[in-house]
Amino acid sequence: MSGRRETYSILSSVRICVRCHPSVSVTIILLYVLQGFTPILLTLSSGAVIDASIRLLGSQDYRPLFSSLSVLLLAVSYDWVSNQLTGLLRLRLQIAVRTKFCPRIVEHISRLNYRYVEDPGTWDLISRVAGHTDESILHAFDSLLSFLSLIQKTAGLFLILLFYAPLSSVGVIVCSLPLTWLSLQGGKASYAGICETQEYRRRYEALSGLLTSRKTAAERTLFGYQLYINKAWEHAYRKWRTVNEGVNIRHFIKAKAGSICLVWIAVFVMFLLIPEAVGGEVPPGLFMALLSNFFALVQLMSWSLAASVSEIAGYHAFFDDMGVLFGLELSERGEISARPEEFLSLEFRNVSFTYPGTSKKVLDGLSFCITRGQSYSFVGANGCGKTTITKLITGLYDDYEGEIFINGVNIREWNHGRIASFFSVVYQDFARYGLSLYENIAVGDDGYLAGKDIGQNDFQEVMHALKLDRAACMLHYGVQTGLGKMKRGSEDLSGGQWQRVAIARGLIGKRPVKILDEPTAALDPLAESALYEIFQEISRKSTTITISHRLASARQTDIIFVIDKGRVCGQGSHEFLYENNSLYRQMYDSQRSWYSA
Amino acid sequence: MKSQRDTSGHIFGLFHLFGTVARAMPAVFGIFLIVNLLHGTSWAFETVARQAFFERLQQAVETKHAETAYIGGIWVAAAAVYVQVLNGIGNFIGQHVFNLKAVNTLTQEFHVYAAMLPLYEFEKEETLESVEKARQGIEGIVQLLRAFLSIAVFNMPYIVFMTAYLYRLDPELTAVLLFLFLPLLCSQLMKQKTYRKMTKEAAPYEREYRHYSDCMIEKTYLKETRTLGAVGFFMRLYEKALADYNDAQWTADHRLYRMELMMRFVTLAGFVGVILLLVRSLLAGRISAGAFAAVFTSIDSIFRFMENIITRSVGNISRNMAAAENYLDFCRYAAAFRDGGQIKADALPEEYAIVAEGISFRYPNSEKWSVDDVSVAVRKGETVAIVGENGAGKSTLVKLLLGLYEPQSGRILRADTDKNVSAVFQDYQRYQLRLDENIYLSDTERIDPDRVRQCAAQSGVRALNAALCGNGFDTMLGKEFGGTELSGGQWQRVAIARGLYRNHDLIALDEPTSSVDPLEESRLYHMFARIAREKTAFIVTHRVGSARIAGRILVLDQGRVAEQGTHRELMEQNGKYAHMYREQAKWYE
Repeated sequence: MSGRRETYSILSSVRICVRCHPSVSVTIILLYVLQGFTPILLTLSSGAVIDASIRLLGSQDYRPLFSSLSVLLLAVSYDWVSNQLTGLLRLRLQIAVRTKFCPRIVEHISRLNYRYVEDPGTWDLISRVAGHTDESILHAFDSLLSFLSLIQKTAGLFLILLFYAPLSSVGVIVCSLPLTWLSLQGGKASYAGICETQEYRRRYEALSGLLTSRKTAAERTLFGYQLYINKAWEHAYRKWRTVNEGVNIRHFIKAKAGSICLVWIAVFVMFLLIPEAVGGEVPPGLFMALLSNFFALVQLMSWSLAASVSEIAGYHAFFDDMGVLFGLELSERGEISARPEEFLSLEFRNVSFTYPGTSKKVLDGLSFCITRGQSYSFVGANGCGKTTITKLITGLYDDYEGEIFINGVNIREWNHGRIASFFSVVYQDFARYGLSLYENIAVGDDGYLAGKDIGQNDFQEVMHALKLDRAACMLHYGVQTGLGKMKRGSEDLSGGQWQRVAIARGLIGKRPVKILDEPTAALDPLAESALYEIFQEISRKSTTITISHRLASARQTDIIFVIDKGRVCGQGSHEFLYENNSLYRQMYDSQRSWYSA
Repeated sequence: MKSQRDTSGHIFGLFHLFGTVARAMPAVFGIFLIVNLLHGTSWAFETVARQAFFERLQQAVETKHAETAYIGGIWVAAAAVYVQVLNGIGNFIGQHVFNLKAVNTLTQEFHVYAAMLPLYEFEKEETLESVEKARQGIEGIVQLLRAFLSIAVFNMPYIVFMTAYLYRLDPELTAVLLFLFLPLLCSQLMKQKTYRKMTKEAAPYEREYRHYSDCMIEKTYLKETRTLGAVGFFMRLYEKALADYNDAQWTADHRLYRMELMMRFVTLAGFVGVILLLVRSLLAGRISAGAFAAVFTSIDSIFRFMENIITRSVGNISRNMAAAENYLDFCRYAAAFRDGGQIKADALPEEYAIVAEGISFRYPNSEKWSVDDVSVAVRKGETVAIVGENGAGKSTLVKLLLGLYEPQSGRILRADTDKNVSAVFQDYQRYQLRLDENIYLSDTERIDPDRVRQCAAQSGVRALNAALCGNGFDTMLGKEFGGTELSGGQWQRVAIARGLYRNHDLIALDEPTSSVDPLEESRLYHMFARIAREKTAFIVTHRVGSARIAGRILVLDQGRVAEQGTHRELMEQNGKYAHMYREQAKWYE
């Protein structure tokens, strides 16, 4: 990618299109330009047709009629053909933009500094840009071109006027400038109005969701609040409607006031031209054609001009967003090597961390040290900063205070890829990829991602350890069955099975440190116990870190870190902590109380 | 699913819907009709005015007296302004008043129908689909209604008027309409056929490439994909799916464009026919030069009106008809449940709250019985704990006992009517509403602020005060609409308050499994125990140890009651329960 910072505006749509497919883009622009001439051509040729027909009454000369008629037909067929052709070329262009530009956006987002991901404002912006990028770019391109073409069409008709009545038409043009300005303002206001109503719209849509979604079905059926919410819905909908009507009535009045003014201008011009038509300077047929085309244009202008201005304003905002997106800081790229380095130790030295945009220190002077081959766990109440530790370890965030060392090296000296290659993480909110069962697990292996196969033995071992081999037998195509709902023939797993797939993904790779982020949330007690045993099994081979609020799992690890208010308030074995740490003891006892006789 | 489409029934249903809309908004409906009628005919007036003007102009050219032309000019100007005013009003009323009011009426009706569906139906994928389709159908119905009405009071009056006008000028000229109409109709019909076939082909590819893109940049995937270092992997999949989608779309769409282009030339032939017809008429002296010019310059607007009728009647109607049918099918399907689902309460001995006799239940599309031949009798005031592994059928059994599902075999007898049961579900809802609404939502027929406060206090919602910034019960909850976001534990308390608010003799408490830390978890159990003490209660739990607060424990295994009894009895039996208990307790020894 170029290091040069580009500015983004509505004109970027043209730039992007031309870059993605120069010849098609230029052809489209040309077609639009040529189409801008059609009103002149249509007016002149239909005027000539009328005049020729009238003249036929006197003479029997058919030639002028045929020649003018063929020009007219050419103009009409050009108009129609170019419309279709533009449509077809536009599709080509959209495909080009989709293939060349969209992956760039996706790649950029995938490499954004992680702090943006958790910032709702920035993320909203990103989703606005990433949703239907190709369509938005093409629409912006369209509305820009059709706006210009509309101006060109109007100018064309004025040009004819200028030819026949130079003085008066200059006056008319001057008169219509403020009108155009008014229409532009109307378009912009209409865009602002649409934005304003979105909030109300989301509100009533959410209420409708309460009445019809599956998620709320149990409570809805039991509690029977349909009537109440339906009333609330109507209230919210009416509110939206009122705001919406207000916005639109202003828009309509402006648009129509503009067109009525244009009608008056046209009539005024017509009156100016009547003497010349009567005097024979202007052919009467041309005069009639000019008049009707003017009225047709008025009708077109009243909707299209305001609409395309409103769209342009909207897409202008879209490209602003895109500019912001491309301006966001990226995290350093770093390929994850398929052959990991050896892990010796991980140390946090007085690390403090505050989430961007908040003021509370989630971690506050946290220090601990982890060495190879041991098993560790972090315990603590909700919100004590447990999960934040994972995000720092894996290098998702780098704007912390204090120092983090891996193998004695400060990780600020490494890129994200190198840091990540030490750790495999099983997240609580793990990803359910729309891939096959096999791929869902294999993506956990760096070798597989680099294009190599994973060892069948390793795979079978993991499948077996997590009892996924049985689940796979139930699937139609075994481990090759697509999971989720995306593809035809896909099947979905239960929550517990998915959880085990996520764990298998974490175990399959060769990364030396396994982090298990509250892995037991969706499991029942027996499965939970079984899982802990597997953990123990693994910890013999590699270093493990468990983050949990269930103390039973913590107890099985060699060293437990008790986290409170963002720092370590106790560390050691279960026995040691139980004797010496009051918070740990309190937590443990409260869970144990259910099992003591 | 649908065996045969009952077209006449649908048409009847549609008219019924139109009636509903018309009754709900008679004034708007009336104004809509009148404005459209005036609007449609105004375009025809413009042509007539133009003819008058052109004839006068022609006269003026011959006599060299410009005055007569000016008067005609005024007519044309007046007609043009009249058209513009009506065009504005007509469009505004159509798009923004009529549309939205009709959507309002129909959506409310849709909500009422959705409310008739029993919970069981929501377990079916088809139901969710048909709910969504019905929702989208609303827009379709309104479009359909507007299309019918527009054709009737806007387009047709114009065409009739123009036909009469042309007939009066020269009967032969009425063929003009035919020349324009037939090619348009043909092309629309052909387009329709091709289009329908095409849209289906590209859709699966689109879903696929969007998913791979999500895997890289969507929030639920991004974190993990990044730590896995799998962006490159997904990029390859994405680019491949994208290429497939492009191919599919290109093959489908470019055929469509080519065909349409061809049809355009047929239409052009019609256009030539019209001009020749006009010239013939002019030369034969049947129409004046002014009339010739007026009709000639109106071809465009006649063409647009025709196109409108055809795309609306052939295109929109057939497309929206399918949407409307979805809506009607849904209403019919929902209405079938209108009076169903009442569970009888007969012949139950005084001291019993609820008795289940051999009930079995399975979810739609599932071969496994989730609850399999369960019999249980619960006395009034008794607390029953239900324990078992994941998928043992605990939550399902509770929903059966609450009367939310109906067993496929066996029967349930209860002392209380539906009204007197309440519950706190495992997947309790986080309503993006005010705090008080969140609580009294369980019983909206009796809204009592004192009771809201009391239940809030009981479930510890009061302790939220800090989070609510002192705004009390008016506070909007949830971040979606700018309210106060609560933590998982806090939302849980609100859900408990909601369960308590509903007047109940029987309550079911389904344990939350995640988002609660150890200390919070203990507090929660104590609260459950306290609530359970006062009423007949079911407590569902993962934590076998916590079941001891109940007088009786029901152990479920694969939908069946494996054991039941008190904690001590079950420990002595040394069966499933004792095994589970020991498995969990061993970590706390």
